[in-house]
Amino acid sequence: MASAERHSVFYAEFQARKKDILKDLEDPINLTRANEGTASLQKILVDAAGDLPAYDQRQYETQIKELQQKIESERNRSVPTTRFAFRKKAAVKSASQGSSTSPTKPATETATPEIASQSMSIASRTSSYIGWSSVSLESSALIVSDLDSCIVNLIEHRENTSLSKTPAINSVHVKNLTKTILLLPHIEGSAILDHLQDCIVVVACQQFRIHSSQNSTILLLTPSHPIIEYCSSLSFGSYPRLSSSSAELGPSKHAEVQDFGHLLQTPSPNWHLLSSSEEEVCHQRIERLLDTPPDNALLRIADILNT
Amino acid sequence: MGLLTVIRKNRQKEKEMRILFLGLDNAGKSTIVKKLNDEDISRISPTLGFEIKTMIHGRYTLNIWDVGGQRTLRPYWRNYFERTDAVVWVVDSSDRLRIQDCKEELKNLLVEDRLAGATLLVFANKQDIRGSMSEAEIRGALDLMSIKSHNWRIQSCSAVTGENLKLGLSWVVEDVARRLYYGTLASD
Repeated sequence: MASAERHSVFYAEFQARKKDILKDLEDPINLTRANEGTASLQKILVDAAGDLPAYDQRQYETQIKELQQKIESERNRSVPTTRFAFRKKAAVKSASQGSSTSPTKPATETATPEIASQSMSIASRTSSYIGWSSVSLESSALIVSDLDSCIVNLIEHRENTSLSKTPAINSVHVKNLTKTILLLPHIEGSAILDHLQDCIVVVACQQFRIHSSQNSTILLLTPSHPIIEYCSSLSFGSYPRLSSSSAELGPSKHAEVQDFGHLLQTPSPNWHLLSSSEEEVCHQRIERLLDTPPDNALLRIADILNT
Repeated sequence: MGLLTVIRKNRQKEKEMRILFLGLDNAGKSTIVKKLNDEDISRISPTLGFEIKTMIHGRYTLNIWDVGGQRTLRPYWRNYFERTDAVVWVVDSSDRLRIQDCKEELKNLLVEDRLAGATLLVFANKQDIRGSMSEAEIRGALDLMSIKSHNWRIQSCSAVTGENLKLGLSWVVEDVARRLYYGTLASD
């Protein structure tokens, strides 16, 4: 028999036995039989082990593990009602499990904002205009998170002379933005964005990645392929000509997006390139926004985002 | 001649080690590998699949597998586990938002049967970025002290400056050599 044929025979045998076991599991009376069935299933897998591809074998093992877990939970469910002693034990066990997992989770959750305060971070704002003045310069790692209807402007204003030189940013991490305009200068390192909804992002960086985002426009200058993953309705365009730094980076690959959520040869439905006229409109809006005083700019967020 | 002796003799001839570089996307895996190999690091694109580099380190030939870290690619990591001698887990020390993700992925990796016994090096990368988490912070955040299944070490480093990269790799090679080529070390 050819190996592919043997595999399909084994597959059919395995699935048939698995089905029987699952049926046995429906009634607690047949629990022992389900257990025996699983054991024999495991045996045929071990016997066939040398013949199966490693990946398939792994898949079968996982399925057996799932069956064993199901049997175990069925057993725990039926036992406490019959014996008080076990019930007590089970209760203690679940209590100790609860105490071991639950305190660690809140502890880490509360720890995250604490450590984040040491970096250059902008977090948890609504309807705010955030410029360089409200950012700590202690760090070169920029973290932007949880903003709603905000404008973050870290592009040096053309007429602003108070900042002799734009502070260097080496990495950008962004998470959870809605209806926000994020304007960033040239980043030495990479930018990684997560969970954006109805946003405009302007950035120049070495590497660009965006995950789990929808309905946003990205004006980008990057020498490497931008990566998108689990995104939809993204528009890509070039970085507006605002400062001299954009020219130094040379050619940009903002139009050569790689979509990891769409691994087929066909064009990805999750992003498109802005047409030159659309791009021009975006650039003009960004330029005008940079010239607008913060209060007026905030009032115009909805207009700018509604493209 | 026992089986173990046969395996050791076989390995001894080649003196090869297989090292797997893993970590979340944007951790700097490719940059570290390229820097270790004295290549240009200024134009690195996100890794779409994987890359293999062969390097000579002392008396050993290292086969380094640099595998992409995008979430979509992570389920495929398992295809590279076979015969792995060491795992280098690369962490972006400036990525505070995803350190919990990083911890989870590492935890999933360590329960893999095929990685049992592999040496683990955690590279706390991007130390050149001001405001990055320190080695101690990452040791805590990833709960490294609870790892009993693997011989591990954490090493702060910077792929951009090259700081501590060779130091970390040397530890990996020594630790694997002690395990695989034990008994042959003295005679060399």
